[in-house]
Amino acid sequence: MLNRRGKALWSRIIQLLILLWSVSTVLFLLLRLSGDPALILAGEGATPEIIEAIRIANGFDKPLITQYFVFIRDVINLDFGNSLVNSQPALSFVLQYLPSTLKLTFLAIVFNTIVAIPAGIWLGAKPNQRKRRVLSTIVSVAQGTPSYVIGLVLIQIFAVWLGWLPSIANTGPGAWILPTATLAFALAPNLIRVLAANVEDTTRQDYYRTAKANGANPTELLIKHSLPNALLSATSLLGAQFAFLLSGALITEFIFAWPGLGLILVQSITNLDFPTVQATVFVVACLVFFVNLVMDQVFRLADPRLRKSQL
Amino acid sequence: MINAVEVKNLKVSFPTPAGYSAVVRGINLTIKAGERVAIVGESGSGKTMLGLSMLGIQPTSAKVEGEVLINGVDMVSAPDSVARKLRGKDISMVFQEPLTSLNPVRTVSSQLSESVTRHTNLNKKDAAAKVLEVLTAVGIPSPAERLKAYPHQLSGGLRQRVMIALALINNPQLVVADEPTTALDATIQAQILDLLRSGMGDASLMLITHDLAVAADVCNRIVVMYAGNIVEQGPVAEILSTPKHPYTRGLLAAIPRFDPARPALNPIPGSPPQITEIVSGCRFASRCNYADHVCQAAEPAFENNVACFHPVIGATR
Repeated sequence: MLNRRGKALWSRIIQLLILLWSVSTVLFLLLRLSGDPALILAGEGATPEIIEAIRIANGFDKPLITQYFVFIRDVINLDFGNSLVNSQPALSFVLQYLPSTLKLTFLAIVFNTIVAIPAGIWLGAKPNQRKRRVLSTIVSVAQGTPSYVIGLVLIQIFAVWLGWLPSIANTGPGAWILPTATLAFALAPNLIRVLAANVEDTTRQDYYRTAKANGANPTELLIKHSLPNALLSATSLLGAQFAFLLSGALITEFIFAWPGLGLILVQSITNLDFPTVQATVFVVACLVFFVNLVMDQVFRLADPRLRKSQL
Repeated sequence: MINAVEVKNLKVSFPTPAGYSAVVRGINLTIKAGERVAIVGESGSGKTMLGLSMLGIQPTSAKVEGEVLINGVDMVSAPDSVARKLRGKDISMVFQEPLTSLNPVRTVSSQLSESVTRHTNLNKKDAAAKVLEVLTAVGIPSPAERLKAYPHQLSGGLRQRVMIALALINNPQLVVADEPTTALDATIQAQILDLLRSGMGDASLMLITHDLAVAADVCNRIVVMYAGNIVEQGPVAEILSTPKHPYTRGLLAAIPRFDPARPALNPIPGSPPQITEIVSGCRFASRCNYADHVCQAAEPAFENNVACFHPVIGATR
């Protein structure tokens, strides 16, 4: 007999397998749907002999269903083939760049929360004050600004004009600042607005009125009654932002030539390096899945309503 | 005997496009120590706003005038830093929705002890003992086990008992209970009414309800409100047997009863005036069978416990 935890774990594992299978299938089809894969891989100006050789080497001459089973078998063995650019096994090539993306993501999230949580609370606590309205307008405009614009502006100011910070690659501690700031700037407005709305919303709740009726002062109302509820609902956004960064920091990494998954993905697509594309997408899918898994556990610990049933 | 609260000419108004409109229109009300008073009226009669403004927790857009005297402090004119020292200590409030009125992410004991440590200098241990004591007093079974419970883990009736415990925990002189049983099952309702009738210790009770039967069951005195005014008040027996105001008679006639001999229900036609509506004369006149030109011309004063130009004499039926 499985207990509830065990069941939940199994259903998660099954979800992961279904996810990875779907992602792999889509990847398999994408390459085959985009025309004759051998022709694409051979590139421009290849002789028919070379194309034929590539076809046979990659098994493209076999029936589609056979190719599919071979592909899935290789995926199960975590074998995505060798990169067409540097001949390394694609997966281990991609995994080399994982730590750098994880660090960037993690720093961006930390930076984002440090800025957004106080700002969101400050805005939400008294939303109608004039100076807070001004900030909230600025935040709305910032939310509408694409991250590449922010990145390019930051490069122009701090790298080109002032010359304080490097603008490309991971060349030292200083190189972290601009990409991290760009990502945090892209995320923070959203978190600020959601948190401010949450804080404001709690002041309209019945429990807030109860606390007031029992003599709570404004500080107690905010810290003991608004925040536990407002931060809890903002956590779900933070989880989504984390997952977004892992997969979507792509443009930022590209702008800063940051050696991470995003850059690898863009480069391998440009180079038609399909094994690397497949390995990268596979790794990102796994990461997003695990981030969601962790966020679910965080929620379960933080929200008493998800913890246990009726006493 | 001291009074639990003295309300003098209390007005609560809200801004509308046409200027401020009053929803509480000059209420005078004194509740004695140990007294249980019901405020009865339809939705929109201003009874909830009366209760909220007595604690000074009305919506921020509201304008409050008049006086609410508790222990020599005027809750209307006192700065918030003074008024909040009385909230939860001298005057407290029980709300209609026991689920949403407790903080969902904090335990029962933390919410109760917060109020104890705020208003007394009890240490943590003594506050915890006080919490247990008051939970026992309001009839929560195995209270020690409920301390660590979150509101969603309790039934509606238990949650309302926790709310009452929260209201009573600092031995206030007045508890305002706003429709405390409306959201509960009938059987649970009866238990909570029992608690309000006989489990309140020394606290006076101001019970806000639309239900005359509930008012009669729990209270000593009934105050009938209509469209922001008190239209009649008196001891329960008098209000039930010889109501003078046509509105009170209408309310009594609209109570459903299990009595085959009784004629069909007799609802009061129409609805109270909107808050923006300008009414000259008696605000009940348009719905009143007894109204004449006098009632259209001026508003009746509150005299001899009734505000009516044509008070009805004699028993109902």
